[in-house]
Amino acid sequence: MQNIRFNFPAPDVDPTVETLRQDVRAFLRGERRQGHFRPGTDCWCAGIDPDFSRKLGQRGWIGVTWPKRYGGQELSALHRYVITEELLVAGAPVHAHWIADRQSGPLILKCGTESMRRDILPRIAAGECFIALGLSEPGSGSDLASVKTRAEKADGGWRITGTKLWSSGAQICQYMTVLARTASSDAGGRHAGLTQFLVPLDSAGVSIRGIRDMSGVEHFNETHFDDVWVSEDAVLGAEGEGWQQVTGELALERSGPERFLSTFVALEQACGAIAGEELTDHQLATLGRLLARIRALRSMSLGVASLLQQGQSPDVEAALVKDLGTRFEQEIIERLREFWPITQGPDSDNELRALLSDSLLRQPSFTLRGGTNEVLKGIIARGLGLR
Amino acid sequence: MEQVDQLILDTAERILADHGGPERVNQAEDGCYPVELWRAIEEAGLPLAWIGEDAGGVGGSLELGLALIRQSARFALPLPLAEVMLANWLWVRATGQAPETLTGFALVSPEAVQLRAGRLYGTLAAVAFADRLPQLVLPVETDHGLQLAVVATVDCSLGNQRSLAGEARNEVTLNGVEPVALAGASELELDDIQALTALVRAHQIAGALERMVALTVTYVQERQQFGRALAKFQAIQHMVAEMAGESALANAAVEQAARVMADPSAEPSARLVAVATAKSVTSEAAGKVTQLAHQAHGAMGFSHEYPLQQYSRRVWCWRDESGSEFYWNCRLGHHVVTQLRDASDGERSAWSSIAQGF
Repeated sequence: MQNIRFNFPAPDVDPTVETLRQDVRAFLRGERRQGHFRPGTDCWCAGIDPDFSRKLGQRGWIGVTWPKRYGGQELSALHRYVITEELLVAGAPVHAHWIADRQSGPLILKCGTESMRRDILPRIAAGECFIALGLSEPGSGSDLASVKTRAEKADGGWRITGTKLWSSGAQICQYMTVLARTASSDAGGRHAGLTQFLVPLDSAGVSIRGIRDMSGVEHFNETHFDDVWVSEDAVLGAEGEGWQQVTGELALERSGPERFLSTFVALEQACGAIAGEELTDHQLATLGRLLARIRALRSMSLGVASLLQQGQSPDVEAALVKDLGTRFEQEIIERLREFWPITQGPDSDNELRALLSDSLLRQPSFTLRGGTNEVLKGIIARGLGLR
Repeated sequence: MEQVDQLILDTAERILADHGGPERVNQAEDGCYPVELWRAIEEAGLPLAWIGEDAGGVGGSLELGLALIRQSARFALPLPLAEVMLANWLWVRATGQAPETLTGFALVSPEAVQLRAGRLYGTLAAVAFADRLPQLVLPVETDHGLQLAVVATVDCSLGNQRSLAGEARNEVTLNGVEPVALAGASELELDDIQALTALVRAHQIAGALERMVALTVTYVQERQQFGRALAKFQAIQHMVAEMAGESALANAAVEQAARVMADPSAEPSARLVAVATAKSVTSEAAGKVTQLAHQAHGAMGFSHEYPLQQYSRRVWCWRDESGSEFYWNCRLGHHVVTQLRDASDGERSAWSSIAQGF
């Protein structure tokens, strides 16, 4: 019980945060007006546009919290939060750089070699280097510690063999963070003997195959590593510390605004479309409830961001945000069916109808990716002392 | 929170733990008013938390007062601490000094009471603890705008209605009652008072929900069935995790709303959105957490002796007082849609209406 904080600290607000928000909004309005993007649902996963990511990089909006010597702006976590939430609600195509900005970059900053930091972080911040996650495998989903991909020392580096599955955006990424077994799980338990590698995806022996998802988008990939040689420098962090490093990223991965705003763009357009109509109290209350809940989820998510900024590890609180938030972004679409029945495919000319259909088709993934909600509830239960 | 605030909260915690507790709560419901508990609360100055030091109070912030109220709900406090705090705060806002007699608070709709030739007429429904409070302060719409009236309870006729939790919620009839005092509301509007009242109830719900989660965690760890603790069953773990999520969300919403209400630069629309969010989320969570807590407790939770029911009945009552989630959802929906409709520059969005401030 004592492990869960039900009180969330207020973020430290600095006036430049709102200025930044207005800048981001103005940029997004301009891009839309010029037809550079069409708002998409689940844009942080389905919206892949390297050119758009480069534009954000040119404005200094990727890696904003990192040190300047590595291409960052040395701004606060709240600055980053504001950038990300504005991009999400606009439905901007941000997937290309999302993972590198959110977790691979911070991981490199924390555990990477100095040459990785100098070489890779500035390119990520410029929107020119993208990184995919190599965690799940054909036989390892929720039970991640059972990964079969192996790395063995050879020829002054390592040789990696195995298959990684469901890596979003790998087809446009330069690197993948690969979790591999480097020592048997017999000694030290099943969480020991795992190591993370930063593998250049143009290495010999790497093959990437796209996987089409049920919404028709091909952002997933299956990546084969066939005896792929990487240098000693490709070890990301410490050998054998892979599990601690991967789970250490989880609070970052699970508490952000993308865990409750994936379908907000549909709700926004829905509000705009019906604002001019005569609405019943019931309809107003339906919209009001959705908006209230988003606002509360945002407060909670910001609270976790503050805990992170204070240097704490709010893993359980982050799991709470993701469990509530992802179910809620699904629920938004269920509730909007009351206003707009969803029967047509996502290629409708009507932007709102297309967003609703696309959201519905994409929503099964929300409560799976980054740890299923059942796994999250297990983490919460452990935090409460039940396990 | 300031250090001195923490000190006040610690003192309150000690008083509530020492003089309160589940047995006292049941006794209070059975008609044995917990006099000592109230005396300890008064001696610690808690009802004056929102009164400035110049008026003899504690000079606490809005956030401190709300934290106190949330804490008192963790103990299912069967006493009108929140109501007296509200009344004192209103009266000081209007007159610059605290009322001399213990005063409660009645929020009425503008049509419910009329002031004619210096006398008050009308009926107030469900006034909390009116039968225990010598005075009541109530907002009244007059020809000179909103005013605050103080009436002596003996001058009114009181029904003896009880809430779901067995707390007094008296119907108060004013049949030509001459107010003990009448003052302008000094820039306060009925909306502000209504918002603060709703935020108080939201904080009470959030506090009670926290305790319901804690009770459930303890119970499922102790209760054994099929040879192991209930806590070891995954189905139970998921229920408790769900409760924890709703409780955490409720807390995040009320704390955020308290920050907005305490910020003098916050726009009225920001206050409305914050309070509507807090009351909507807490009222909805009240139903969910209660259902899950009882399911996890089995028949024990349904018994009068076990304390869970003291919280269930309170949150069921509080969720529908000062506007249910349906009421506040509707207000919020209306507010956002109206802003969208009135926007001329095309830059207004539902997002910009709800995502102001942190």
